[in-house]
Amino acid sequence: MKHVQNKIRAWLDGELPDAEAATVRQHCEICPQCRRTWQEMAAVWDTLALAAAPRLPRPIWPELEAKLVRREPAWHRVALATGGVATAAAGLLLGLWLGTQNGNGQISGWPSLVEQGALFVEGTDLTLDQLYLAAGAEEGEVQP
Amino acid sequence: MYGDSVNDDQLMAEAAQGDERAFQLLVSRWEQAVFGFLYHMVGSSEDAEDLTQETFLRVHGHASKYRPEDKFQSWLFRIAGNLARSYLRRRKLLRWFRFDTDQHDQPDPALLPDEALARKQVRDMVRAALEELPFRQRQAVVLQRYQGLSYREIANLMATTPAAVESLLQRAADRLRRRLAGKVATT
Repeated sequence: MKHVQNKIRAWLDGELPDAEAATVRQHCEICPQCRRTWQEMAAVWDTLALAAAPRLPRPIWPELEAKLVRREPAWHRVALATGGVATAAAGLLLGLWLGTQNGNGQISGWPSLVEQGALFVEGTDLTLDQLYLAAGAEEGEVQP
Repeated sequence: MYGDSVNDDQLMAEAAQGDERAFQLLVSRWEQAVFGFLYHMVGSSEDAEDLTQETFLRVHGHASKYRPEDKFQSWLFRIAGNLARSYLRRRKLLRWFRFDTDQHDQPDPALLPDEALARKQVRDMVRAALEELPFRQRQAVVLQRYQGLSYREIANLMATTPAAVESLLQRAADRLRRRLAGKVATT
């Protein structure tokens, strides 16, 4: 009987092959002690079944997606920060360079690309020409 | 676009390559199961929801380390189980320091209709009984009873043998039976 008692758990959990499960079930039908063990075990498992987890209140994706964006790889953040610093430094240098031009408003020494207005300022739709005009230079001053 | 025919391993491979839609589909497939597992492990739906998110953040972060030889479900629940264990340790410590009371969901019973109240009482009773189980016994019970995993799958997930899982379940059932004695009806 002991060997059957040891198999009641596996039987209840659906872990026994069909033939063995049938043997255990038949034994439990005729043996009061094993039947009692089976009923006690089944009652505990049945009670657990009454306490199923609630449904998730909402899909987690929207919040998860936001967290994933915030958790970008470290090298991403370093690259972005470096890019920002480089852009700021370039802007500062440009400002300083413009500030050192001669006082009569004439501009000299622009690289040819700048002279042609072909160089765009990073992060804007402006050419250096337009940027310079916005800073107060007369139109045409940057042309050769 | 991905359909139901795409298996978890394929989705993981795509997610590891940075495909967000593949990862989103994996999340929608598994979020309820992970939440259910964590709910039974930690006993609070709010904390289980947070831990579910953390589980998927870990999955995303370690997608490139996933190997299809390991069944996705096992890998996923292993991560969730580790998070639950850490959380329970933290909670135990916090309670000790701050004399915290239970953080379980406790809606006002006066607001519940009779049937809902009875259901809640059973759920509270089971939750309290589960909480008294040692972590591994609880994990085995939750995976077997609520997630429907076989002894072999649980053994793989918990890095042990099917015989050890059966033993864990047996000891857990004995404890639960004593704890729930008089509250469960035998047929």
